[in-house]
Amino acid sequence: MASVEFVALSAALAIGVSAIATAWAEKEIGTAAIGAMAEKTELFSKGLILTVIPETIIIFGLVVALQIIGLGGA
Amino acid sequence: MFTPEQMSFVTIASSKTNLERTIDVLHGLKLLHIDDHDPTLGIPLGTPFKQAEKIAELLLDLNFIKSHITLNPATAKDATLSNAERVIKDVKGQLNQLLTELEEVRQKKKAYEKRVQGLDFLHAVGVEDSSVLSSRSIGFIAGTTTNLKAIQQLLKDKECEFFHSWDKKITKVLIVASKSDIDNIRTLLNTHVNAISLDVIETSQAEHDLHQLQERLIGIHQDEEKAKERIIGLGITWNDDLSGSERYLRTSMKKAEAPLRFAVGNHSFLASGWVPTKSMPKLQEALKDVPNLYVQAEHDVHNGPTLMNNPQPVKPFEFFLNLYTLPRIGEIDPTFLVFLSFPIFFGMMLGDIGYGLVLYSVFSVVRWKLPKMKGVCDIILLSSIMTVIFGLVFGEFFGAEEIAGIPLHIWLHRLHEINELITVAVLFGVIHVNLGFVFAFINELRHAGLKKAILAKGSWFVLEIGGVLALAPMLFHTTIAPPEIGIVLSLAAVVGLFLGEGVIGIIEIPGLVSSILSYIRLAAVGLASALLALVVNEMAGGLFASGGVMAGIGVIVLIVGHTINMLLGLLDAFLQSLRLHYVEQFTKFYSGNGKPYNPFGR
Repeated sequence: MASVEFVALSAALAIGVSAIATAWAEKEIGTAAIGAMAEKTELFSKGLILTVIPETIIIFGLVVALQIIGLGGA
Repeated sequence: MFTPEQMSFVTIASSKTNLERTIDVLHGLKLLHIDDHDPTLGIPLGTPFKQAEKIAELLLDLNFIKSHITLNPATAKDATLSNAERVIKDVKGQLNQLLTELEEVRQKKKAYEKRVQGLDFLHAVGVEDSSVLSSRSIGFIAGTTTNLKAIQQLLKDKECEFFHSWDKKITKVLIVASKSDIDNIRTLLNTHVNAISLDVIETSQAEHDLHQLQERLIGIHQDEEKAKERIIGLGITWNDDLSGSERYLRTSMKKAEAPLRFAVGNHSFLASGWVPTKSMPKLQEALKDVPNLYVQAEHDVHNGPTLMNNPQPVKPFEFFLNLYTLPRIGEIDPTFLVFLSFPIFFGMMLGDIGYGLVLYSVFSVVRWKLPKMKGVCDIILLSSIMTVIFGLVFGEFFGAEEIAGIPLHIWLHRLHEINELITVAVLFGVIHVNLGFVFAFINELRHAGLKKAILAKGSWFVLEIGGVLALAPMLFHTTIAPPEIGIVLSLAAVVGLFLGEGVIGIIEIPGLVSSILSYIRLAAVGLASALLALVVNEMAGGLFASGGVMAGIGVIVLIVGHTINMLLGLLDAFLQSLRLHYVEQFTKFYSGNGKPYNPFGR
């Protein structure tokens, strides 16, 4: 069961789906941030920081993918 | 450095005759953060001084001048009120005259352009002599069409003259018919012709007149440019006087309107505000020459505006606090915490000797050229030093493991020892979050006393120890102490949290695990950066091996690839380090919402 194909596929899924989730979240926040920035330019830094907050999701995805690869390799 | 500057609440009372003099002294001192008086308390606000009206008028005129001329404030000259008045009135007069001249030229230009358009149309459709169009029994339709054939079809058996240009896509057309027929034809052609309004231009030789007019138009363009240049010249001549006047008028306006912020009665006035405690003697000294003036100061530890006082290496990091929210008086100023850990996180995420050196050089130049960005540049300079240090630990120089052939000693290989990297990251996380808890403990100690501090914040430490003891057999495969002690400690901590902070404390417990795990990004971002560098190097290496032109492309790939990686790394490391501070650490202890210290006179 732990053939290379499945290991690769699961690692790819782990990070791929997380990436979609992160992108979706950041898209929503980013749109709102740009809208707020259009009215008040000082909000740029706060907006940028808030937009990057969902990065956690993809990082956990990466960790899981790495663990899967490590698991598969063993 | 650890808390914002201590503030004293100052009240100044004197007779109304001293109002203007006191305001002058206070403005010059630049120390008092005025606490605006609330008129609903009974005593009314003051009224602005007489000159406020004139100053406002002059500022309006100055705004008008500035809408047409850009001023450079760097070379401002000193000014006085009468001086400023004279300069502004003078420039305003000249500017008005120049603007009228410019407008005249523009009107002329418009008229000419209209004529040119008309002549151009006639010439295009092949009508050189327009006298036929001005006859009273003739009507005409002028316009453009995209469907020439349809019009030709429709007009086949109509009594009219049909002229058209030879353009391929959008053809100009002119249909001339008797006045009685023209309206029918107009309705007929309605959908095909985009009508343009064409005033009848008197000409008997359209092409010749057209050329003449076009030449004259060039002359008029030049006149317009000259008029514009005269206005710019006016600005250059008077720039220093105007800038100086602006600066003077704005300060005078603030001083003239200052009574609006004080309580002014019939014979006396009261001004109150905040002054840094250590500057109180300076204030007393400056005010001692004003007769009948009483100053009362109260050292207040709970209210007041925030003035951060950090020593020079730490000061640039105040930028991050200004971005987020200022600390309140009496609370711990986290700037020095950011100073300690931000460069470390940044260095760990970027971790490359080459990138660190490039960043250092680039931002040294930026710092020199743009003195306004000094704060941010200092932050990045410090961070790039840490980047080089971590680069030495990871043994990476632009992604490669050697510098010009000399292999680097690798203490921690980012790509092969991933688990160790993650462990280090989580360790940093534990330390960082617990630092947050330590400061939460100190803040709580100051505000609510020892018992509350231990219950609300000390419980976190107990919880962590209990958790580690209880889970050690499962996670680390070692038994430090019987797990039962761990479970007991954890339960005790939960109870303590509930007693100290209520249900909210309990809800935050999963947040602890999530916060610590969030620090894995230190490893992940670093990993991504290292992998990208490796990929770029391998691509370039492949191209170099082919030799010749490919080698040239290889160099380009190398430069572009590493630049992109560096920029991405810079942005990402910066933002993620910042986010770790704001979200994972500050939420543990920081309340913020301090008012910025804004002294009268600055």
